[in-house]
Amino acid sequence: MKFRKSPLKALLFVLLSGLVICGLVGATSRAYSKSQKTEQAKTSQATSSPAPADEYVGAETCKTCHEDIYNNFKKTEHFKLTLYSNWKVSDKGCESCHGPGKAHVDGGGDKTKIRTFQDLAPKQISEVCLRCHAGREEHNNYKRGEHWRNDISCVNCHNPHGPKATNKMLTDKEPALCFSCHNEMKSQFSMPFHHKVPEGAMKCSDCHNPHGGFELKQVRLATGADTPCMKCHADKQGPFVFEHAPLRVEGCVICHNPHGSDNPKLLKRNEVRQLCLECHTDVGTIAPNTPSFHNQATARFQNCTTCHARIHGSNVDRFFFR
Amino acid sequence: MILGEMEIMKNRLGLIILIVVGITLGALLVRAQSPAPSDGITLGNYNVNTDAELGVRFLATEGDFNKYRSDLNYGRGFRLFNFDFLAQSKEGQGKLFDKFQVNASGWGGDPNEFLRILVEKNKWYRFDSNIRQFDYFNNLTNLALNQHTADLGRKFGDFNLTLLPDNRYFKGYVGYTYDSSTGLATSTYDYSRDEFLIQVPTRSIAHDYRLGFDAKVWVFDISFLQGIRYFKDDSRYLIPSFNPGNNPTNSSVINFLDRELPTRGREPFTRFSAHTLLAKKLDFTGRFIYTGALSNYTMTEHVTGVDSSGNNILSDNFLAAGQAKRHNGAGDIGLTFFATDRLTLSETFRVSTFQISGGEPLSESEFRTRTTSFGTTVLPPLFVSSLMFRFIDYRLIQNTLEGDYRVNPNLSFHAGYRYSDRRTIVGSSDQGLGLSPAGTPLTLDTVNNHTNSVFAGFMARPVSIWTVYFDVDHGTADNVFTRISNYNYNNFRIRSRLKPSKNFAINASLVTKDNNDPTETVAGQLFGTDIKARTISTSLDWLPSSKFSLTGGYTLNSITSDASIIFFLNGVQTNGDSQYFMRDHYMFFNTNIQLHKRATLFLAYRISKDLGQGNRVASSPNQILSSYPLSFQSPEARLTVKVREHVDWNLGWQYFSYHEKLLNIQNYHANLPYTSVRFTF
Repeated sequence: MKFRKSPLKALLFVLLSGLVICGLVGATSRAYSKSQKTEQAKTSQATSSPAPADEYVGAETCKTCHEDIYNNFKKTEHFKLTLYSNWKVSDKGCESCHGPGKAHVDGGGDKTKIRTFQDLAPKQISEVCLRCHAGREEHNNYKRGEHWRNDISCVNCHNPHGPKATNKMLTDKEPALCFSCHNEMKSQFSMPFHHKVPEGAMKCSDCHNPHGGFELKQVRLATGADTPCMKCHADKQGPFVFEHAPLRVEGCVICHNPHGSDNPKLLKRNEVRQLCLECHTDVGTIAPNTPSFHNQATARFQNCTTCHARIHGSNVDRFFFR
Repeated sequence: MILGEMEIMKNRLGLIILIVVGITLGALLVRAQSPAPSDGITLGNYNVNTDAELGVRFLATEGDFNKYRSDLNYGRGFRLFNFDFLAQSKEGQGKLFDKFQVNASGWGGDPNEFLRILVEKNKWYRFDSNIRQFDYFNNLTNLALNQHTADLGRKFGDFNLTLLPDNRYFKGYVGYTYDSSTGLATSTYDYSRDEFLIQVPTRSIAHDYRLGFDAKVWVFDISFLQGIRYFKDDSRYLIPSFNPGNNPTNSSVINFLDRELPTRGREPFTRFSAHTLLAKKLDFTGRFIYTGALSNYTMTEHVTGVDSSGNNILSDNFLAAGQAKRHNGAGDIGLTFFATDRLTLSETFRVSTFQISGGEPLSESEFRTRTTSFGTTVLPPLFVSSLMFRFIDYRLIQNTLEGDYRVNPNLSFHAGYRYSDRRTIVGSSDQGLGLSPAGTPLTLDTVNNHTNSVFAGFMARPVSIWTVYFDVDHGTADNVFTRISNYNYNNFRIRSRLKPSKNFAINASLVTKDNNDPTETVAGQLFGTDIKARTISTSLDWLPSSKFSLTGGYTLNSITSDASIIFFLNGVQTNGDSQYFMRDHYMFFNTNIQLHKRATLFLAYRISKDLGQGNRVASSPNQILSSYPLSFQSPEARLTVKVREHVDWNLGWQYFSYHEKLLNIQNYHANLPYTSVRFTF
């Protein structure tokens, strides 16, 4: 086994990174200069306070020119807010996102007089959505989430006025929507054993919160602070008198590939003993070595869970036999 | 291959039925009347859209039927392939509801059944429910000597009622979830140094009840959730008759075993979070979670048979009753400071702790005799009582600091640093009671570790049609508890999305993960691990017209893992290697071709081919080298005929072929022809 450090590699990496950054700044600045003026205008609109009420014209006015979009909008969850008379005009209808429309209408449809989203940066787009949608626990960590960090905005997944009424106004159904970026996951869910996501019985968002979260990989929590696995695998939840400590300390993914595997138990190794021995290898009492009679030359001791059948934890047997 | 021949016969019969049913359905549907308007139909105050596909699926398999069922488990018969129903009130005029939505799939025979019902009355309530059922079947030759099997029905239900769903100041939540598992499984039991196949009639269920609210209080958005989970496991463990055990060199026998281990669990949990945005500059989120879980159990076990010394076990009785507790607390604070329009700084802090403790008083009474050529002698009975106690105390402190800078709308960078400090204490005590021999005193083992990692990345859009995402993550991982020291790791991820037009997109990604432990030594031996994972993936979506579409892609998943291990070979402690290889090539395509204005052909193919370890073989008994080379492929063809404007008739065929290289004993082929009718209105 080779273990080595390579300062040369690190230097090369830094140099390459520098080159990439310079190249990217150069390449994108051209596009930036084109859109700079527009962006400045849109930025101020995106972050500004609501305008006086008389600058809003109402969704019906928008409909006169944008009837097709309005008809689509009618099918969405957002439309129902227009029916609430006690909501401010700035908080419902087209103008809740696009800003006050009077100047746009008076200008004969001048695009610079209203907020359009084509030239906004992804984070600015999300800011507009979060004006209303922040505050639920589901969305509280959006600004610290992977999608925010990588400039995936809300409209990458949600269509505020799509042609078809969809669940949560998503642009596509799960998992196709998620696979459209996370295309490498499709192969994992095509392995012989997988969670039934492609079959439609589960969704990516059952386990992951696409809007961010405090947990790594943006996983959701099951009851309390448990991993999402425990929502359905309640029999593994314990507490057990004899806990297999990694279960709770490291989480299920220390042994399992949750998306899919060739192994029927979604294990990370083909042979169970490899998983076991890679920890139980004489490195201290916390993960002790196997007893000497566990002769790995015989098949009997190669199937660890044949004896240690209750490997997740047991209430009555310290060796997880029953 | 009797099973295979039967399946072929059923296949032929199935095909005949398929043709007959197809023609009949087709003929019936040609006469179908009154297609609905394309944007739904009007029923009173509601606009209704329905998309339903009903049909029948046939099955013919050759090879290992148990493996087929373990992988796919699609059966024959009628089923609901898909059902989407949406009724929406016009202008919010619904009396009891403004929205009624049903989505379902798989009902009537598929192993994975799903039903979602959503009912909503604007302003007042939203009821969202999900019901899922899975036929979980597992019966595999290569798993635990084919003795760990399952034929279980898994049922899950989620029911959530939101009160005042559109109110910005207060929303109430009530929820209920169930999760049950019933059926027959088999497992193994180690008794007197032998392993015995054991039947496990399984019956477990969990019920979750939740109550909570979101509220706006002063400048804070408050979320509160109180819930409780009740868990009940009444599975039994049985060996009803003579069982010689797996080990031919061991004389132990079980004539009868009955174990009852009813377990009752209770887990109340509280979750509270607060969020605010101060002066449009500082975003704050705080969350606190507390869980107190408790398990109570009693075990009675009665065994008769012969032990490994040849003694007759007239009655070996175990009795245990105990309790385990877990207290789990977690506090998180997230702060994001918008320094400028372009610069964002975030700080995330977490403290997480749990303590698990449990005790088991166990008593065993054993009554034995010994039979020799001189007759049967009654041996003194054996009474053992012990008290075992275990606990785990865990504490994590973690801090993440990150910054994000947007150069322009087409380019942004982010970088961060994460630090964590973990402490794990594991304690145990085994005490003999009464006449039993003394056990081991309380022992405590403590593991501390600190981990540091840095991460950085960028999003770049050099031209409007092309976006690149890049991430790098370097540090010491925190999965030390399951290995001997900190892993060093380097993760790279680059993702490219090229979308020249609305109808054409190419995605590509490269993910590399390197984990190694270069420093640790045990007994003077360089002792570490080296894991390399590579994923290369690309996909294409092309929809040039409504008459043709093509989606395809290729992914390589490669893993090379090499870990030093210590184990016993013929009683001798041995230094060795554990090596694992995966070289999975996955390819797929889906295409839709409109052959005629009334006929569309769908063709799809996917293959997952793992080449595993290739030509590598273990060079010595000290090396454990494994992989799982296999090929799993599935072509599918479906012809859709538009019988009426809103009625389609489908005739399809799906084929699965599984071939494993090393054992070569679980291969199968499965033909699944189907026909269905789809209504949309």
